[in-house]
Amino acid sequence: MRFYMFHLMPWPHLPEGFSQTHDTAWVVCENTLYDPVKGHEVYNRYLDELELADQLGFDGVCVNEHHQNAYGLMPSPNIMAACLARRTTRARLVILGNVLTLYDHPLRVAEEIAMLDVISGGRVVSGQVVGTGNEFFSYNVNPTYARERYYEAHELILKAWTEPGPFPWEGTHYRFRYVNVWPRPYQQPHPPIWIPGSGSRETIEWVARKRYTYMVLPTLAPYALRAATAEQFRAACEANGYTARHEQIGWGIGIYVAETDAQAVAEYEPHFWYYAKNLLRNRDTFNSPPGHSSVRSTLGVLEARRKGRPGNFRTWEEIQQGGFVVVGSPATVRDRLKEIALHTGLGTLIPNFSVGNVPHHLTRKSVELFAREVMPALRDVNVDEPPAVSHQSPDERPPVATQQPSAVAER
Amino acid sequence: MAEHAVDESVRDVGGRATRLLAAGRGAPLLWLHDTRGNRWTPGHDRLAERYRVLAPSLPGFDDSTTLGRIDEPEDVVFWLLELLAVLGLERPALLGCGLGGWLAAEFAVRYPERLRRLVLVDAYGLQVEGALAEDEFALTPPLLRPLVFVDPDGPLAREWLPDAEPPERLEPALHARVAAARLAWQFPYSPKLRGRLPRARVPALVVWGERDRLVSPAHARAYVDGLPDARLALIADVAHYPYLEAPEQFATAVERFLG
Repeated sequence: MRFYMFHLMPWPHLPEGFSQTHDTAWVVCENTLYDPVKGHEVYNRYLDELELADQLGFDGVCVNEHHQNAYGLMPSPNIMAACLARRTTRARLVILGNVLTLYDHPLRVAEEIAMLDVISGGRVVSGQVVGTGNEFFSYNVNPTYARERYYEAHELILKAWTEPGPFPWEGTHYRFRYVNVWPRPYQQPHPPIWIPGSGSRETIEWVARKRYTYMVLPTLAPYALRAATAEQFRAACEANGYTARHEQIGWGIGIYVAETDAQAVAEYEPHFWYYAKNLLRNRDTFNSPPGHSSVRSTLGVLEARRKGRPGNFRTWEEIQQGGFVVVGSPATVRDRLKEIALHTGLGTLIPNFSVGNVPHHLTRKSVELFAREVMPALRDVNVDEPPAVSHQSPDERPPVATQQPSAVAER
Repeated sequence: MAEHAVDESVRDVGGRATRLLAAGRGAPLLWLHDTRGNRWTPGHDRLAERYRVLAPSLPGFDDSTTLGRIDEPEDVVFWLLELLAVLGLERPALLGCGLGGWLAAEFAVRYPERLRRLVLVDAYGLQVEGALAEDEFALTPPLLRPLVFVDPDGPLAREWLPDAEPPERLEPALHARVAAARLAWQFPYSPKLRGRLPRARVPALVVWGERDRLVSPAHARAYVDGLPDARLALIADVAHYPYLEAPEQFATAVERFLG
């Protein structure tokens, strides 16, 4: 199993009683609630936490893209990855992902990811997403074109990375007379591609066909739902004539480790509720704009999603029993993750340690305990090929930049 | 609720299967529906006492997977040309509500000679400074109802804009939302339409609910000012749907105009 620390970079300073006064943390949540001076501290603290993961031997660090909200403060994940590229040496830089649909110039994504890949010596993973419904409101992109734009942008970016330029692109949503991206990516033919998905059958089948890595979302969902999604993905790979590799199954999940189970829950729970009650607070309209998913899949997903939303839960027992997060002592977390791994086949673990408004010292402690007492025992679980990064202690490991460009792409 | 027998049929309009509701006898009145889809209303019923009311579903509204390359109002204008041919309509009266009103106006500025009369009801379509229409796609039913009904908690509002659609209405409602968003997403107007209104040389009636808070009466005045031959019927104590909230006053105003 490999470990990629994910950071959501939430805004931790929402006022007391936010969930009583606001119906959403997105789109129209007033930006006067953002304090740039506190923001300076928040950004730098969060980047410190990802840099720590690099030092502690995580295989990668993950950033993502959301706009105009308190939930995640990275409108440009590529800027965050650029900050990290020069301050980390070993970890993969996982952009999870770029919201392709938002850009009238997908070539900008092709260029920036190639830049990051070259600067980092081939450490980039390119995640590519349709985007949450909210982004279509915030960026005025017509959601009824979401899927068309996404697939076309993806094909354009792949072709820009892999075929000699210049060439013309005459698509439905994008037209470029001259596609000729400089620089070309360091990893050849292109960086690995990960696709986060929240269970839509259409996406699962597409990712399986392309042999990319599928990251099971949403990050906060009951265990049973995510296990079923992973199983659907494995079945889709079989239907495409191959068995999914472990590393093709990614799993984003909230994790918190402390000295004992009781201490872990006591330290984690208040910050979990800040996340569930405030940051996930949203209108159905913003979550599901028309056309963002097909009517067929909307009919199936809408009701299940509404019932399963963690904001609708009231007690920690419901969260614990549903398996939304993995929280406990090192032994508890280790055993639970091993059980999940063996049951679902997942080989790409994407833990999110920094929940809601959890303070830095607790995140730091949790990440350190995880790296020291959980990771080593799981390293050899669900490994299906020699990993790109060696597993020596961090100090002895050569930087990836001196290694051969990795071939972990989806070939 | 239909007092008239409403015929329902499916016509091939330029390769698009188009559901058509029709009732009444008399001069043809082509009715283009609003964003919530093609439903027979008390307003249809009342006008069918005097006219042949023909209500087609706009492209993609009954099945959004058939939206095809409907990308902008002009694509619907071409579909309307086909529809007139299929229905054999010579200079019908064209009535459009909300989104349908915008499309009717787009048709009228291009082909005024194809119309006998134009009726616009609480219509989208114009860019009016300081009066941007509210974002209906951002508002949940409880937030939207007070903008489009004078009595947002009454049975009429709850029936037409429920918190959750009843199971049999859910799928059609989702399809209609997608088709509506295709044309009306965030900015339900064409920036150039206002400048083109003088080209719509056909007698026009602009009907508006005085308390429409989705598309404010400022838009009604902009239409009346821009159209070369238009009169205004502002209906008191009505919001976005005069044909639901005040079908009698609505129909009377339309009848007076159409003759």
